[in-house]
Amino acid sequence: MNPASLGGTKPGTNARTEQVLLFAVANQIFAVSTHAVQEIRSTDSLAGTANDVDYPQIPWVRHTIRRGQRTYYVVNAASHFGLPITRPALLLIMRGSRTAVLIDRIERMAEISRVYPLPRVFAGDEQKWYRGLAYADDRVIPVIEPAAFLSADDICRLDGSAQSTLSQRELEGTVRA
Amino acid sequence: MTIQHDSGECSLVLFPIRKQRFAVDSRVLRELAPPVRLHKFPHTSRALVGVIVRRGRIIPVYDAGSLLVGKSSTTHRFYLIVQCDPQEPNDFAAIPVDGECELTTASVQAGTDDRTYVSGVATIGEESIPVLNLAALVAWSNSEAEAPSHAEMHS
Repeated sequence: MNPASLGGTKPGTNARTEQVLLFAVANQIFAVSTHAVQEIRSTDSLAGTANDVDYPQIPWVRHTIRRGQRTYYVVNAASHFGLPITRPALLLIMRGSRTAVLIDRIERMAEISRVYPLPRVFAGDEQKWYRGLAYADDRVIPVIEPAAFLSADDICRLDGSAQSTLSQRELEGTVRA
Repeated sequence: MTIQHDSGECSLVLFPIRKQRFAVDSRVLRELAPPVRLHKFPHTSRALVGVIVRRGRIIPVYDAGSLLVGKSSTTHRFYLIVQCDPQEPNDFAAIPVDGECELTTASVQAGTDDRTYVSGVATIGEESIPVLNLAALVAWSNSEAEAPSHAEMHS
């Protein structure tokens, strides 16, 4: 990894700081760039508007929601990261993708002056999950790579599954009629 | 890789993990750090437990107990911070150790240990101590972590 010092990284001391949202899932704190988040909703406000998805190959997606003309796939962040399943209270609707992410709570906004590369010995899925690590509040916090929640290929596969489920329901409706 | 003195002896750091002692070449040692805060986050690399921040660096921490004696260390007292690969000057790793470390010189013989990361055996008194090749240990632990049967989450 880059040996650059962690010193001098106090928020606001560097013109190139990045604003991030610190959020919690199963008592684990993550950071995500505020630019990556379009909207934050309470899960209560979505009651009755979510549709089920059954695609076992991507078990962290169990629902879709409709926002305007777009359908968003809802990723359970706890399931995605292999953390204990909690009762999420908030939904992050990500910008520029069809992904929404269930989280427990927002901790706060923060400014980070640098994202440190993940040490190269972390060689598993975490290489995709994280842009790197940030140091804030005397803590090392993983900085999320938003595109890693669902790849374009994952969304294609979920679309295909949703389409085939819809076709099957239409067929069943025709037979019943 | 060990320092071989004219006398045929090597400079070694000895460290305990769950009542067993291991040795590494003293040249790879960078610091013996106190048990500073371990930062954990979700990952799938089985051999790692998290990172520590030390002297301005984020340093990965290996679960040396599991790797070397099959059980995680529960009472670690220090972090042995080492340079894993002599070709990579910034490639540091931390190994939690369970007690006092010792700097000594001892002769190292090629042992019969078939573990790829054991480069020899140091004989000190009546004790035979495995000498670790850390670059090989890291490579071995990474290959173990890639095995599907070990795919699990750590946080």
